[in-house]
Amino acid sequence: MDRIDIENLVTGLQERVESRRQSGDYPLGLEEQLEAEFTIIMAAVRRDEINTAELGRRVSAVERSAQAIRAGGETASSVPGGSVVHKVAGRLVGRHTGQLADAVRVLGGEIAGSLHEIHHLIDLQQRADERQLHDVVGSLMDRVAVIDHVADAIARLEARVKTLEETAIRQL
Amino acid sequence: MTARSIHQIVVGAGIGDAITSMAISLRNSLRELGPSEIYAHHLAPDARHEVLPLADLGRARRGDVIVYHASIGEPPVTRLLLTRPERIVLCYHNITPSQYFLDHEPHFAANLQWGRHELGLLRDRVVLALADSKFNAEDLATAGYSDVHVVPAGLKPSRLTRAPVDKHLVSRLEQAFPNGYVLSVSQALPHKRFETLIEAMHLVQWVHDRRLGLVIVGTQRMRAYQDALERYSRHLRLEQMLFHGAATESELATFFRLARMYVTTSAHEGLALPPLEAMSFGVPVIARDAGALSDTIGGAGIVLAADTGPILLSEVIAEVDENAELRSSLIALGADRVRAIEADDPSARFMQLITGIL
Repeated sequence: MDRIDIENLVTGLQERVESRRQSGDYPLGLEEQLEAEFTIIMAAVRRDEINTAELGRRVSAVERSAQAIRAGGETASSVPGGSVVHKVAGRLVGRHTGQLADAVRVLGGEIAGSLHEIHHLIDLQQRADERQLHDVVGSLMDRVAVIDHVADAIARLEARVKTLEETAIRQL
Repeated sequence: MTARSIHQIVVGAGIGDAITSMAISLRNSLRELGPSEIYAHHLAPDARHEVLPLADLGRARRGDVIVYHASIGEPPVTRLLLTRPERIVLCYHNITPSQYFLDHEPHFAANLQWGRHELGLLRDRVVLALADSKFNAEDLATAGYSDVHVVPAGLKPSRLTRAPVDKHLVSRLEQAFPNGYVLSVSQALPHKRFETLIEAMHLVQWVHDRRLGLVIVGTQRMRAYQDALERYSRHLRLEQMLFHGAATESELATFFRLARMYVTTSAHEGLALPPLEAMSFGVPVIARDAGALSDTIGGAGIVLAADTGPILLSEVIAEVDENAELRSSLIALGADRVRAIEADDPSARFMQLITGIL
């Protein structure tokens, strides 16, 4: 039996995913949103701990919102000639709000950048803590193994001493 | 002169589990060399006719060998191994990373961690190191072992096809899943990542508009994770969803027989039997690349990248459901794979290696 060209199959399906994205079947950030929803449900049954997944999701949301800031408004109108009036008014308002929108977009980008940095630092710290804990647990286990070993040897020695004592008493 | 004993030690034994099955198969060959029994620290009642309690292990004689199957740590077993005089043959079956269990089963996580630690403690005592897959051999090498030999686990996935069909379950499944179902079989543990499968099935049902169901079979050992999965499937309004829990052989065979496809989203697998069992029932297999899964499936299923998300997975599920040509190719490849796995008997290779150290 011939092998299946998985790579080719997956490439075709990825193209299908892309076209579904375009048609809105898979909204932007859908997988992250699903993951975050499960994380929240798990958190309800999880012991307290620092989890940066939710922070990461929120930072990405800030980033997306900042990039979506636009100064222009809707210019379509159902009133005859209304669109022209809206376009003129839009251009006038845009002249004042365009710069503000740009500034807010830049600010949003900077805030998101800073939050990304914080997220990254927390992750680094958490990994360093885990490594340290792992080392400590490893050395503790070594000691426990030694104690276990010694305790077992003592128990066996005690049993032998007891046997020897009993033999000695019988011989006396 | 009495022949030397070559006994095997497993931490837990139960009929049907891969490690116990391998140990039984090896014991039958080892008995050609001398006395050989299997001893277990945890012994399931169904295995008592094949396996003895570890406490019954007698005194060692000069030249005796212990074959230790490592899969999890148990301090009393480690202590026993360290105090016994026999030479040790280590047969490594992989130890799941403990991080997946720290939150909900810290005791179990500690045993897993201990298992990895034990590999280091035993290293100097081990005269022969074996692993049941290339992936596991590489994992063992990270614990400082060199010259690790790969010996197949001697899996018999088609064994289940001979189990009787549960007729009552058949009618229940046909009624509950008129368009068939996706099957996944495993203990409900966090590293199995069933949530990704639930998400993918949510998209299959609500984006692809396919009324395909989802059946998850396996012991629900971690209550918190199981609760979260059930809440999540309700939250995503998943229809035709069944968490069956532990299954008898007859029930399991029935689930496989009626499945439309088998999907695993696990993030870690040392050696997975269920995908091969699915193949033996003519069920197409889809998996994410994790641990030894790709090696186990051996090109007879669709193995996606480890980080594949629910969107692409849902597309693959929909494709396997509707593409008849793809389905028949997967089914044929699966049958070939099962034949190849079953022909790969571990005993000959194992005996060749073990006689080399006697």
